Amino acid sequence: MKSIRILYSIINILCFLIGFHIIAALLAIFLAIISLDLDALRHLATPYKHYNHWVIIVSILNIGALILFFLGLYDLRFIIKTFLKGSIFSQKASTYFKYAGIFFSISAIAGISARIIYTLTGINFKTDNVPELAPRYFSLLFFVLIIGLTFTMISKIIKKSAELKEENELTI
Amino acid sequence: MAIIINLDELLQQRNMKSKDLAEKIGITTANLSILKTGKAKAVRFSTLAAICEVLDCQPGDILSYDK
Repeated sequence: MKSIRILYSIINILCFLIGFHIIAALLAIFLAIISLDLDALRHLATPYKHYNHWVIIVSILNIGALILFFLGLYDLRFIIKTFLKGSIFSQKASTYFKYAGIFFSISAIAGISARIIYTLTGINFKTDNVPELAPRYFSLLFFVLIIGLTFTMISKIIKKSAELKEENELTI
Repeated sequence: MAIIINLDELLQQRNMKSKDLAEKIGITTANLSILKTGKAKAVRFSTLAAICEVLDCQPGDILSYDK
């Protein structure tokens, strides 16, 4: 139980850090939009920047991946909270597992897609001002994808366990 | 398809309270209430036997099937 409490604290800190990261990224985008002038637009439209739309797509995918990862982590926080309350075998916990799995999976797919586009189009993260928020390594993204899929599977197991538990409790 | 529990009628006929029956058969009043309201998913043979013994009846008197 102590290790779970430590894990809960770590996830709380991670949620705070990633949430802060997202707010900073969104604020940066907002500031970039309000400070956008015509010269900057002309600069974006220059012919040698032929992959500008890919820069936007990769940016959206990266930020989207981070937001979804945060949501998955937030659901994981609720899962641990439910575990600490002693009601892990419940429909509620199953729903949290399901959403955490979906969020982690989509986050990983968005991150992988961003990496593939980045590799194919040759975007330079430093010179093209692409927010690099998703993990750089493919293996890490695949690991998140596997975790997401595992969580989805666990949600089905928890759902079945909750049904069995309810049946057992309602056997007089 | 529904299984109906006729415990209320049997208790009324025998002038017995739910609390007394629960005590005699060794289950909680909350569980007896679950059984009486039809929320129970299953009934153990031991519980059914205990109810039959206390109320001096047959399982068919307690349970009935409604189409």
